[in-house]
Amino acid sequence: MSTQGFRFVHASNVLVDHQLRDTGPLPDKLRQIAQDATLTAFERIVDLCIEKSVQFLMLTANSFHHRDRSLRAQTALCSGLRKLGEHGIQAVIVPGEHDPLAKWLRIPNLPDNVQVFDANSSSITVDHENMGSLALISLADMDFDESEHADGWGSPLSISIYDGPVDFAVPHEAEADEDESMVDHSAEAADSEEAHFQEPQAPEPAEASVGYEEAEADEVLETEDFDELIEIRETLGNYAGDYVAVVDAEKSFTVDAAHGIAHDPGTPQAIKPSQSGPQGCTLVEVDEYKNLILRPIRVASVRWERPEIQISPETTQNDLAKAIEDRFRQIETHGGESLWLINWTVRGSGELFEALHREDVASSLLVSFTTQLRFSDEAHVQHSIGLLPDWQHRTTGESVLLMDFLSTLESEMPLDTDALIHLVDGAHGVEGPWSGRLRALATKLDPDAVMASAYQQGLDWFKDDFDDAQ
Amino acid sequence: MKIQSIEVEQFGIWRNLSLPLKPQGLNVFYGPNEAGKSTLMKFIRGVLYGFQQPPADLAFPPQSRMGSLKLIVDGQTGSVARIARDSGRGRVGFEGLGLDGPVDDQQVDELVNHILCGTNETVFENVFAFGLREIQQLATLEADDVERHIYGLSLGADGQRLLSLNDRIAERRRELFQPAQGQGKLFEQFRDFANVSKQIDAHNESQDKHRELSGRRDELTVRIEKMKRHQDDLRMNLRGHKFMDRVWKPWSEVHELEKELRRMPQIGSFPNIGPEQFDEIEAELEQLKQTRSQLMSEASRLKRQSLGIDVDSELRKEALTIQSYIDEMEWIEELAETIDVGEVESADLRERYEHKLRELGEQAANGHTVNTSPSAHYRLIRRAEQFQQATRRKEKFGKRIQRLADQCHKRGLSLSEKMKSLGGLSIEQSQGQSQACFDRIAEVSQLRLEQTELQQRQRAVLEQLETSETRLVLPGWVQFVLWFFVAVGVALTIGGVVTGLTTNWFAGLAFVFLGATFVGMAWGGKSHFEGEVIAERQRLHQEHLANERRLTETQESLEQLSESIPGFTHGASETELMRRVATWAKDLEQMADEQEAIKKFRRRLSEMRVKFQDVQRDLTTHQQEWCELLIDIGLPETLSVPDAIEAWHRIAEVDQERQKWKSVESELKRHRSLLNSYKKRIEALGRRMNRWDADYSDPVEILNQWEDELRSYGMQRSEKRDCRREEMAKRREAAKLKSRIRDLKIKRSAILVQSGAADREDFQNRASAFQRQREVLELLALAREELAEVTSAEKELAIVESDLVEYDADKNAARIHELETDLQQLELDLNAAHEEMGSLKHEIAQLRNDNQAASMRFDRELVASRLRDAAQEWFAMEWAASAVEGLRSRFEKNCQPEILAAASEYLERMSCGKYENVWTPLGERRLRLDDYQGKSWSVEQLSRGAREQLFLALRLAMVRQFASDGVELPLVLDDILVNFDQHRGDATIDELIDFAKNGQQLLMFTCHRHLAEQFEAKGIEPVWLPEHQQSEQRRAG
Repeated sequence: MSTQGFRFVHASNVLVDHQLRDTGPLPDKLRQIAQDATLTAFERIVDLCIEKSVQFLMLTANSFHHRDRSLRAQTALCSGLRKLGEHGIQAVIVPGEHDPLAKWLRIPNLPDNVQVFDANSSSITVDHENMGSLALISLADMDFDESEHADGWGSPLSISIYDGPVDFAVPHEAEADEDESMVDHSAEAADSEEAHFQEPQAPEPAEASVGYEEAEADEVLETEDFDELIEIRETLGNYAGDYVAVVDAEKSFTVDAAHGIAHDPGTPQAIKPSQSGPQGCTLVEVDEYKNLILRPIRVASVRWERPEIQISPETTQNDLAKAIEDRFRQIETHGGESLWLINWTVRGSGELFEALHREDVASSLLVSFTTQLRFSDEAHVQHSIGLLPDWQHRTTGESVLLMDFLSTLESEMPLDTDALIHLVDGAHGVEGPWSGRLRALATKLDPDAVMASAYQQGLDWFKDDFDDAQ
Repeated sequence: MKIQSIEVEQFGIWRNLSLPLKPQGLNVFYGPNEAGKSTLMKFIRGVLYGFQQPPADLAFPPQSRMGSLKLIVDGQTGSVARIARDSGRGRVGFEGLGLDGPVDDQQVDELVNHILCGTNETVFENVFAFGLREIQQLATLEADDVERHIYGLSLGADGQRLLSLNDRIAERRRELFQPAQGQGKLFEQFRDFANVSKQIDAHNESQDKHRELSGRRDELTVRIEKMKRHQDDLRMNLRGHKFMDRVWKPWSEVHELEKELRRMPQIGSFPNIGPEQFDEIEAELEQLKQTRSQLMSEASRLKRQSLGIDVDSELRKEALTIQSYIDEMEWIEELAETIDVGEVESADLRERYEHKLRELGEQAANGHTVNTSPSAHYRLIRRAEQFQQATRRKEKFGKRIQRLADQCHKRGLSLSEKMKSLGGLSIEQSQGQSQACFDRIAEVSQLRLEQTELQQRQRAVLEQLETSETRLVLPGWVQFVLWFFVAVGVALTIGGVVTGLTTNWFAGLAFVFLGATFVGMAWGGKSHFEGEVIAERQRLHQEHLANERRLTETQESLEQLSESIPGFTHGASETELMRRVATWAKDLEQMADEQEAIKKFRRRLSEMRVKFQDVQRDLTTHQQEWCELLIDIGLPETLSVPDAIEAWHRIAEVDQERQKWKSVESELKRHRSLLNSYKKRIEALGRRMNRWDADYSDPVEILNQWEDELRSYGMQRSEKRDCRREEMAKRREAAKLKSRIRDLKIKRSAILVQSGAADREDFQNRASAFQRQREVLELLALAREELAEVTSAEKELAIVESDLVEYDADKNAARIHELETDLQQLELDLNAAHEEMGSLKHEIAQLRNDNQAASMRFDRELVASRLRDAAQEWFAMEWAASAVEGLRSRFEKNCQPEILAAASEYLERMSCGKYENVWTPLGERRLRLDDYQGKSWSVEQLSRGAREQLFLALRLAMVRQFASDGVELPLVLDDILVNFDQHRGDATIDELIDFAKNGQQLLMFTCHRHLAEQFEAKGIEPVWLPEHQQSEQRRAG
C-alpha cells in the first residue's frame, strides 16, 4: 500500500459497442450518437483516468458483450487500455457474465498494463513502481478471517469482487410507492428511495471536462435503512474487504460492508429506458489510512428519463402541456449528455387521455415538445409519449359490457409473465416453434404495458359499439 | 283448447271409439303394441290440422266422417269433426263453439285458427304431439318456427355486440399474427428480426477474420524480419567480396611500386625541372634572341617612315579654331535659313497687324493705351460679373417687392369687401358680437328651458288648484253635520235669545253661547276642513301669479335676446341659431386670419423695401467700380459691360498681333547680327593663316575648304604618330626580351650546378632517373591513398594479407555475381511481402473501421423493439380476447333464451341433477349442456336417453312458453319414456305430473306396463286401451 494515498476509477457494465435498446427510430445524426454511446462513455472513462491521474482503472463485469462479436469493441478496449498504459495507468479487468474470462484471453495484443482477474486464482495485486502495492483484488469471501484483514497503515486496499445476486425487489407497499415516485423521478430524488441508489446527490453540476460530469463528494457514504436495502446490506455485510465491488446490480448504490463499503457504480451508459437518470462511473480516492471518498462521475452521452404525468378527466391539453413543461424544467442536466430520450408516461383517464391515443394529437404534442422543451443547442432531445390508463377512474356512461370487460381485466391484475406465457398456450393458430418464440417474447414484455394495451383495445372494441348503439 | 273426448268414427284401426279425457292434467293411456295409440295421436292431429292422404288402398271413402274431437275452447264446449275428401286433408266441421248454422270457409278458417291458437301443424307435430322418433331427433326442433323459440328471436344488443366482437377479434388476430399463412404484423417483425440477425451473423465473421488477419500479419512480420536479416547477411558478404576486389588492385600496385623503389638509385636532390624543361629553357633563350633582333630592325624602319611625313604648320596652329568653326557650320546654315524664314514671317505679321489696326478704327488711336494684360482682363471680367449680378439682384428684388405689393393690395381689397358686411365694425368687434350672440343663444335656450319649466309648473299649479277646488267641496255627510251644527247652533241661539228674553237671561245666554258654540264648531269644522285647502289654494295661486310674472319676464327677455341675435327668425331653434352664429364666427375668424396675413405681408413688404435700398446701394457701388476700372484699363467709362469686354478683346487682339510682329522682328535682328559676327571671325582667321585670296563672303564655302584641309592634316599627323608609337613599342619590347634572355642564362647555369651535371646530356640522364624516382613515389602515394580510401570506406571490414596474396579475381567476380543475384531475388521477395503486409494492414484497418456491424445491431434492436411492441399488441389482444371470451361465456350462461332456462330446470329434474344447464353458444344454433361438474357437452356427445330427456325438456319448456303466450293445446306424448332408466323415468313422470298440474292437458300413450304402473303408483290412473277388434264399437275404460 502506498503511504500517500491514491485514486482509482471503478466502472461496471461498460458494454463497449453494445447497442442501445428501445430508442425508437432516430434521425441519422442522433442515431450515430446512440450507436456510439457506449464507445463514447468508455472513451470518457479513459480520459477521466488520465485527467485525474489515477493509478488504475477497474472494469468490473461486462466490459463488452461477447455475443456482439464486435471488433470495434475489441479495438476500442485495446486502444483505450493501451492509452492508459502510455500514461502509466494500469487496468484491472473483472470478467462478467457477458465477457467471460475465455473471451478476454482471446483478445490479441492486450496491452501489458492490463491484468485480467481470474476467479479461480486467489488474487491479483495492483502495484505501482513508486508507490508500492496499492490494492489486492480478490473474490468476495464470506468465510473471512478477521485476523487476516490487513487494516494497518501502509497495507494495500483490499478490493473484494462480489458477483452474487443483488435483488432490488421490494414489498407490495413499497412497489406502489415506487410507482408514485416514478411521477417525479428526479425532482423528488432527494426524498425518494431511489435517490439512495444514486449516491451522492450532486447539488450543483460541476463544470464538465472531457465530456463527463463530476459531482460533489461526501464522506464514506451510507444508505438509509430502507426495507429493500436491508436484505442487500445483510447480504453484502457478510463480505470482507475495504471496498466490495458489486458487479452486476444494474443500479448505483453504496452500503456498509463488514469492514468497509460495498459499492456498485451503476452503468456508464444506460442501455435501456429502465436505466433512466444520470449514469457514470465512480472515482475512488483512498488516503493513507484507507478512508474512501467516492465521487460519481457522469460519462453517459445518451440519457433516458421517464417522467410520469397524472391527468384527470378535467385536465385540458394546455394543462397537460404546462405540467409537462414544468416537469421538464425540473430535470437536472449534467452537461455531458448529447442525446436525451424522454419517455413521457401519461397516466389518467378522461377525454384528453382518450384523445392522446390518436396519432394526430400525440404527434402535435410531440412536435411542440421538440421545439419548446430543449436544454441547449448542443443537447438533442427526443420525446415520446406512453399512456397508462388509470384503473381507479372510469369514464361514466360506459356500456355494461365495457364495464364488465374492464372488471374482468382488473380481476387479472397484477398481470405477470406466467400469465402471458399461459396466453400463448391457448392462443389460436400458434403452435410449433412459434409457441416457443412467443413464450420467449413474453418474458421480455412489461405486463403492465400489456394490460394497458388490453385495456385500450377493449375500449376501442366496446366504445365503438357503444357509440354506434347510442 | 282442451280436448274433452275423442270420438273416432272410423280412423285407422279405430271404429266408433269414444274416449273421454280429463281436460286438465295428465291422461295416461296404456295399450299394447298395435293398440292404436299412435293412430289416436294422428287422429287428433288430423282432426285439428287435416288428415294426411293415406295410401290408396287405405284411403277412406270420400265424404266419410273420420271422427271428431269434443273440445272446450274459451269455456265453450263444442266439437270439431273432419270429413274426408277425395283430395286435400279433409273438411272441418264444427258443432257448438258459437258457429251453429251455415258458415263460410273464412269463418271456419278463423275458428280453426282460433282453436289452434295460430299454430301450424309443424309446431304441433314437433312440439305438442310427438313420439319416440321425434324426441330422438334434434332436426325436429330445427324448423324455423320452433327454432326461433329455442334460440330466441334475437341476441339482444349485448349479444350482438359480443358476436360482432368475434369478427373483430378474428380480424385483429389476422392483422397481428397468422403464422400459418405467413401474415400479420408480428409475423413480419419476426421475419425482419430473423433477416437482420442473419445479416449480422454473416457479418460477424469480422472478429475471426480480424484474428486471422492479425495472425497472418504477425507471421508475415516475422518472415519479413527473417528475410531482412538474410538480406543483411548477403549484403555483408557481397560487401566483403567487393571490398576485396577494390582493395586488391591498389594493394598489388603498392606492392609493385615498393619493389621498384627499392631497386632504383637514390637521388637526394634534383632541381625540379626535367630535361625537357632544360631544353625548353635553351630553346626559349634562342627564340628570345631572334625576336629581339627583329624588333630592333622594325623600330628603325618606323623611325625613318615617320621622319618622311610633312604637315602644314599654320594649319596645325589654327586647327582647333578651324575645327570649332567647322562644328558650328551647321548652326550657321540653320541660322541663315532662319533669317530667311523670319523675314517672310515678319512681313506677314506686319501686314496682319496693319489690317487689324485699320479695322479697329478710332479705337486704334487708343489701342496702344489700353491695358491688355491678363490681370486687366481678369479684373474686367470679375467686375463685369459683379456689376451684372448687382443689377440682376436689384431687378429681381424689385419684382418681388412689386409682386408682394400687388398681392397685399389684392387681399386687402378682398378683405375690405368682406368687411363691408360687418356694418362698419371691426373684425374684433364683430367677433365679440358673435361671442355675445353665442352667450345670448345660450341664455335664450336657458330661458326657453326656464319658460318651459315655468309653463309646466304653471300647469301643475293649475291642476293642483283644480284639485284643491274639488277638495273644497266637502263630503255630503260632513256638510250635513256642519249644517246640522249650524242649525242647532242657530236654533240654540234663537232659543237662547228667546229664553234669555223670556225666562232666564243666563240660560238664554247659555243657549246663545251653546248655539254660538255649535255654529262656531261648524264654522271651525268647515274652516278646519277648508282651511288647509284654502291655504294651499292661496299658496298655489300666489305661486301661479309668481310663475306668470316670471314667465312674462322670461318671455320679454327671450324676445329681447332673440331680437338682439342677428339673423334671428321667430321659430328658429337654438341649434339653427347656433349654427348660423357659428358660421358667422367662422367667417369672422377667416377674416381675422386674412387680416393678420395681410399685416404680415405688409411687414414683409416693408422689410423687403429696406433690403431693396441696400441692394440699390450695392448696385451703385459696383457701377462706380466698373467705371473706374474702365478708366484704369483705358476704355471709355460709358461703355456697357458687353461693349467694354468686346472692345477690350478687340484691342487686345490687335495688340497681340503687334507684339507678335515685334518679337519676330527683334529675333530676326539678333540672328543677322550673329551671322555677321561669324563671318567676321572667319575672315580674321583666314588672314591669320595668310589666306588673303579667299572669298570670305560665303563662310560656309570657306569652312568646307578648311575642313578638307584639316582632314588631310589629321590623317598625316595620325600616321606619323602611329609610326612613332609603334617604334617605341618595338624598342620597349626588345628591352624586355633582353632582360629575359639574361634571366634565362642565369637560370640555366644554376640548374646545371644544382643537378650536378656537367652538361646537357648529363643533366638529362640525371633528370630521367630523378623523374622516375619521383614518379614511383607519386604512384606509390597514390596507390597508398587509394588503398587507404578503399579501406577507410569499409571500416568494419578487415582483410588478411594472405587473402590478398591468394586472391583470384575471377572467382571473386563470380561470387559477387552470385551474391547479387541472390540479393535481387530477396529484394523481390521482400517487396512482395511488404505489399502483402500493406494489404493486410489495410484490410485490418477496414475491419476495424467498419461500423456496419454496429449499425446492423442497432437496426436489430429497433426491429426487436418493434417486435416487442407488436408482441405487446398481440398479447394485449389475446388478453382482451380472453376477457371477451369470459364475457361471452358468462353471457352465454346467463343470458339464454327463456325456453332454454326453463328447459334447464326440467332437464335438471329429469336427469336427477346430472345436467344443470342447457344453453346455446352465442350466435350459434346448437345446444350445449353443462353437467353438475361444469363440463360442457354437445348434443352429439350425449347418450340416447339423455338426448331424449333434453328434447323432452325443450318441448316442455316450449309448451310452457306457448301457454304463457296464450297458446293452449294438449300435449300428446307417444311412449317417450322407454329409453329412460328407472330413476330418470321416475323423475320424468314426476315432472310430467307436475307439468300437468299447472293446467296443461297432457295425453301420455304407452305400451309399457311398468310405465303405466308407475303412473298408477303416483296416482294417475291410466286408461287401458282395448285390444283391437274390427267393426266393433270400442269403448275405452
